[in-house]
Amino acid sequence: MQWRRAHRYRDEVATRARQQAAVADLGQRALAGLPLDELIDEAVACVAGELGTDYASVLELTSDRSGLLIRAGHGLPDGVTGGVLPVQSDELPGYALESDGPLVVDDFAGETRFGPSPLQRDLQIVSAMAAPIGTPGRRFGVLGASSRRAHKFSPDDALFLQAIANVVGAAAERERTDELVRDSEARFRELADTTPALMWMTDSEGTVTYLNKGWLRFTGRTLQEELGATWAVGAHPDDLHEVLTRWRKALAKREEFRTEYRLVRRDGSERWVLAEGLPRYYAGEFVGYVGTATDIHDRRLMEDALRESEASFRDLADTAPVMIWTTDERGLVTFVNAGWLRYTGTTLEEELGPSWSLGVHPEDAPAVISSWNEKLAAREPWELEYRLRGKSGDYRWIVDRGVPRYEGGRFVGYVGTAIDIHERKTMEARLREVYEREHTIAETLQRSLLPERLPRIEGLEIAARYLPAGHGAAVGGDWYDALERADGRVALVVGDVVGHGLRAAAIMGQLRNAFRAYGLAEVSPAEVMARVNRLVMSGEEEAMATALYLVLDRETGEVTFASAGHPPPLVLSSEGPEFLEGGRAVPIGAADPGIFREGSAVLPPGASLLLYTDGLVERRDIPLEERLAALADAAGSGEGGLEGLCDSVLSRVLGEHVPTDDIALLAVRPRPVSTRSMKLALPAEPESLAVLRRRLGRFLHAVEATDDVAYEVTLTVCEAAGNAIEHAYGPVDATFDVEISFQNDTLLAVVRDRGSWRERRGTHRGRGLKIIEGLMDDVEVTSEPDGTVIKMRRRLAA
Amino acid sequence: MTNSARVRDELLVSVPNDALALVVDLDGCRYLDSAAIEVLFDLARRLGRRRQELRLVLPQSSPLVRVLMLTDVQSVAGVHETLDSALAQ
Repeated sequence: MQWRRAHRYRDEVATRARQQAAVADLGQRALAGLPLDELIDEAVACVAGELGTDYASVLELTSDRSGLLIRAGHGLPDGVTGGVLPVQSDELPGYALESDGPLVVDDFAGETRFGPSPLQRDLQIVSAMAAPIGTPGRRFGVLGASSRRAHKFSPDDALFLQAIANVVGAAAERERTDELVRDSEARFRELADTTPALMWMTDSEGTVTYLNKGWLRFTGRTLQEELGATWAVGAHPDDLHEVLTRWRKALAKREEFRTEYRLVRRDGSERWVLAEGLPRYYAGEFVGYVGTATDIHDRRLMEDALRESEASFRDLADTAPVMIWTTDERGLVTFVNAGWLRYTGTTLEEELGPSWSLGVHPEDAPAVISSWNEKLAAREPWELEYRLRGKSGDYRWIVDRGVPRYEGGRFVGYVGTAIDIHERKTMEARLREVYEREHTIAETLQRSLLPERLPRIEGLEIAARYLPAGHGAAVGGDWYDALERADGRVALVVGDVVGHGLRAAAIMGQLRNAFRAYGLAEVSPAEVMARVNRLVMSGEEEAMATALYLVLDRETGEVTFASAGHPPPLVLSSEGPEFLEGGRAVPIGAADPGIFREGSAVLPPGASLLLYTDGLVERRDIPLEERLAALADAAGSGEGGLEGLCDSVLSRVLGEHVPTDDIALLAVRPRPVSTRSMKLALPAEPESLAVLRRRLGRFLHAVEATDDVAYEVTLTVCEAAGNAIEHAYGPVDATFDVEISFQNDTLLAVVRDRGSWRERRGTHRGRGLKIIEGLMDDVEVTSEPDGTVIKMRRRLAA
Repeated sequence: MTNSARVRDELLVSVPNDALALVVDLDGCRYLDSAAIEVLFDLARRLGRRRQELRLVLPQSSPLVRVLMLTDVQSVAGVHETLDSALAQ
């Protein structure tokens, strides 16, 4: 038999699973902080081992972009690593740099796009693959694999190489950023130490980890004395309770924090300060707070003094270092103090009336004016941060605050103070920038772990939802999966890795692959679970997860399933909602060896099945049975489209509640096989015959054909399909169509291919046609310009 | 189509030189396509060169009966109702 390639479907799947596992493993090591040099060495060893090539190497672009440094190599002769090749775009490495994907060379002799590099010529390379590392515009280099003999690389091999290159690229980018961050943090601290503003940082528990010189100067204490405690050390005893309450509340919810209190200095004196803090995140994980404290002592004194008298107020005002202003009841400025004039460099006359707003930055002016007018009309306190033009003409950030004043019960206008917060604002901006960059790198690494798109499985309606919790995280520890096994049954998985963030996501990636590989090989769900558990227990990292693995027979509706500490699947049908009990065991990663059980059930016709993770039903103070009952309620009868079912379950179960845990939801419904007709389009490859045979089997079973008839019809249609596959000519994705229908009690099968007619090869094709003609009542073969059509008819006994 | 060459090779390798015949038991076999039938013919031919026979076990009730008759396989291999019958000298 002269087929294009005789590869075995199952071996392909095993190879793909192994390659994916290798990528996920390398990715996880990169995330865990493996130094770049070690990562690159591991990458080339992995590539050479996995692809079976003589050599593998990572070439790094030099800073002037004219050379490629051989940074690491596997199998290369001594002395080669460390050398530099010039970048030539008519050679494979140089060409790969410009490419937006992997390049495959089965044999350089037949390659017209480019030639081998001088090094490759010296090593007598015959076949090679190369993948660019890094993003276009910021290329790190090239990952290559090559051999001294001709090698047939598969599309999977090319994708595997590119995936490894992507991991190396992301890690290289992160290392570059780490250097920048280290520089940046060093610069940040330098700057933080020169600014008069007071700055502080905590870790995720709320313990102080950093205070700048300004803070220490202000309090008069040393770093030793202040570090390690909550920053409320030094708070006036009368204010302490309020401050701690607010702080704990903000920390618990990871919200912006803000409070005014008296900070007691070493010499016993007190100053009113306004402490503000923002939560910080790194790669989706909360890592603590960063904040400032601003001296508002004078402002508070002003507000008190004003109650006494206007005159003593002005006296005080002019000596105060802060900026002060007052308005009349119409909101027009009647006074600004010397401090304000020193800042703006203007005269009192220029600031009176409505003209103070002229110094406001044009971008901020609309917000300033509208919020001021709004508060003025309501006679409420007003506060805003905006940019005000200083004496030198530069704009600086200030926070301006005004409160209404009354004289003898009558509203007479506002008094306000403004404080320069420029340093603090620029600090915040710089910090945000640094964390943005880190976040982008982490996101890129995360995306390589995202679950693939839902597979389309014939005869099964599927819908799924995936909601990772966590600030800005693209992927969490939950997953869902569906795959079609060789025996025709469908395996469904849903799982939940303990923990959050990137580490959980990396473990999730490996578990997902493990379930796929074992799910294809093992028949029994309990055995699949046991094998995954053994894999986890034998690993170095501690990991735990709950999972639900279920095998479904689309024809009969039979399901067998095993649960490892996971909530039960929900069956929705006209008979009412029902949770599938049984098959329960401890989570994966909890016991070695683990004892896993199986449960089984039969889905009524037309039923839907819902698999989900704990995040959907998790509520701290509500018992499990109630939560499950609520889910069953929300799901209803499960009629209608599955996409709508997922949406309505999510909205009804979650409501306003913001989930703190990842959520995965998978809904399936076996589609009844039509008993009147069947239509299928398949790729023109040998592997399609198995799919066709299974589909025909289900269809003929549904129309209640006898075993003999089922076999003969299946055989003839497959023989006709075999013709179509042999005739396929041209691009790999050529397809052929099969259509079965009934005319009274005569079955009509039509097989249509798109290839050009070729002379029959070998005697067995002729035998095939003989079989078709012998088993069917009527056969018609027509040659059309765009393909061949074989029509066969067979009377079925009534 | 995807594994017939392998099946043929494995079968050939398993037949020692002093055996009289190779018996292929098709009882319970639920699917046989033209590629597999080709293997049977090929086997029969190669065994014939070694002066060995190919015998098939095929009950009358098997769904494969009609197809095998159509392809005239009984012209190159002995067809028996039962395994015992096929193993008899």
